[in-house]
Amino acid sequence: MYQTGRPMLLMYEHTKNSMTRKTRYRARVRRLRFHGPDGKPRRRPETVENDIADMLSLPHAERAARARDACNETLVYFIRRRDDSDEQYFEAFVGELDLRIVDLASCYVRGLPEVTGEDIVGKVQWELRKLVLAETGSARTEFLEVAFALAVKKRTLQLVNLYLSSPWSRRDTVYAEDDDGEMTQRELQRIADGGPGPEGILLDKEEQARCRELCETALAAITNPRHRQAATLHWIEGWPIQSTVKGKDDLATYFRTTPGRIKQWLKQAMKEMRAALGAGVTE
Amino acid sequence: MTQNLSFDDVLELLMMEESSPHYDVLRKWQERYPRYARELAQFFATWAIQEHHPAPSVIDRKRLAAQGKQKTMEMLRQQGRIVSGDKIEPISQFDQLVLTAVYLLHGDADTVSVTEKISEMTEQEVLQEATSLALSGLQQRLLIDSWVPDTEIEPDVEDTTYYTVTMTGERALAHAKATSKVVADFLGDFA
Repeated sequence: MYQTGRPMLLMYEHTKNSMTRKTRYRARVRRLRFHGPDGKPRRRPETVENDIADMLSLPHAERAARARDACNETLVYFIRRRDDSDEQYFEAFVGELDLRIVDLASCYVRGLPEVTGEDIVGKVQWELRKLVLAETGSARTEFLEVAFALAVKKRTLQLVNLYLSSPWSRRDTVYAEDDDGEMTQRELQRIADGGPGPEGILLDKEEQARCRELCETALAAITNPRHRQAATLHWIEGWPIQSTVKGKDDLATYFRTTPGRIKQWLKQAMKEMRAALGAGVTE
Repeated sequence: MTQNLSFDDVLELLMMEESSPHYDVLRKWQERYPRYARELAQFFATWAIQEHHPAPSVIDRKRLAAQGKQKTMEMLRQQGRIVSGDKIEPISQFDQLVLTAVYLLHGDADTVSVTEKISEMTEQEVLQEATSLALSGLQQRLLIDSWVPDTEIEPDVEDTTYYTVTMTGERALAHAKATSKVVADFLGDFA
């Protein structure tokens, strides 16, 4: 039933007041001062701005209890501001942020030895901690208030990349290549490169989403990590074994091996994938 | 301008723009930033491999998070940003009044309104300069915090600085309430 007369007016007044209050707190959110690499001023997403404003509207004592539900960027904002000095307040915000850094970073250290993964995540934590607690702001600090998860992802992948390019990482891969020798040159020639690859052979092209899901299930069945990496890049992300354009990236360049060996890896991977997916997969 | 970016900057733009590490996306970014073609290829490969890796990571997440929290708290203590609950800032009588006025104005405290509020509380004329000086001192001691409204969100608001009481300020205010009758009369239910 519609309300009329005074109750309606009261409701309107209440809505208007809460809107004014909300706008008031939105206006209190400190603006970012630096520009992004594209030359445009940095801006927090609307949801983050509103989340910070909501938190600002709370009394100091109630903020810590809300840390668990806050956006990542809101946590950074409230750790950086010098408004609060209570130990429990910081414990709530800092504890939550560290938990999220570890959770986010752990998604990108898969397949690495435990010690290496922990070293990388620990370094990401350390670097972000320095940025969040920096006395003066910077463009890099402010990026954490714009897209925190992306900042964690970017830095973790950079460190994983650094590890993978290191000599001690490469040493491990040499052993993986040693067991590829049994395939003949003739067999290798039968494996197609480019065009509709095994992804197309595996499943119906019209069911791209299903295909992707199945591909990932199949990838899990590949026992050799190098074979799985090659299979991921080739069948999921579209990397060619050997690019037809000179100087363009391909699997042979990336893995620093011959196209023949890559084909051998993929054939081996295909065998395991086929076995994992069972019926309906033909060569 | 964007051609002179560092690789770190390029990666930031890449992360903001792309959600997939597909080969076609790699080619697009290599064309955009040919200087970093090799680094981009490495980064895309690592991204793709991690994105589709079937196994979970084997790290001890709880331990890492707990260690991280402990280190961050240590840094905050070293920076003097954590103030012990029983440490009460001694403040002058006038500063107590200023702090009370800021508290009572609930986020609308600027130099003018704080001065008026103190005059109302003490029934005496107060100079704005004195208020301004006290506000500055209280802010330096982290008892109050200031903010300038975002005129994009509130276009009608005046370009002025507003003050709010911090958590440390609230503690000092509670102490002031216990020692000053004027402050206690105006603070009412304040703990």
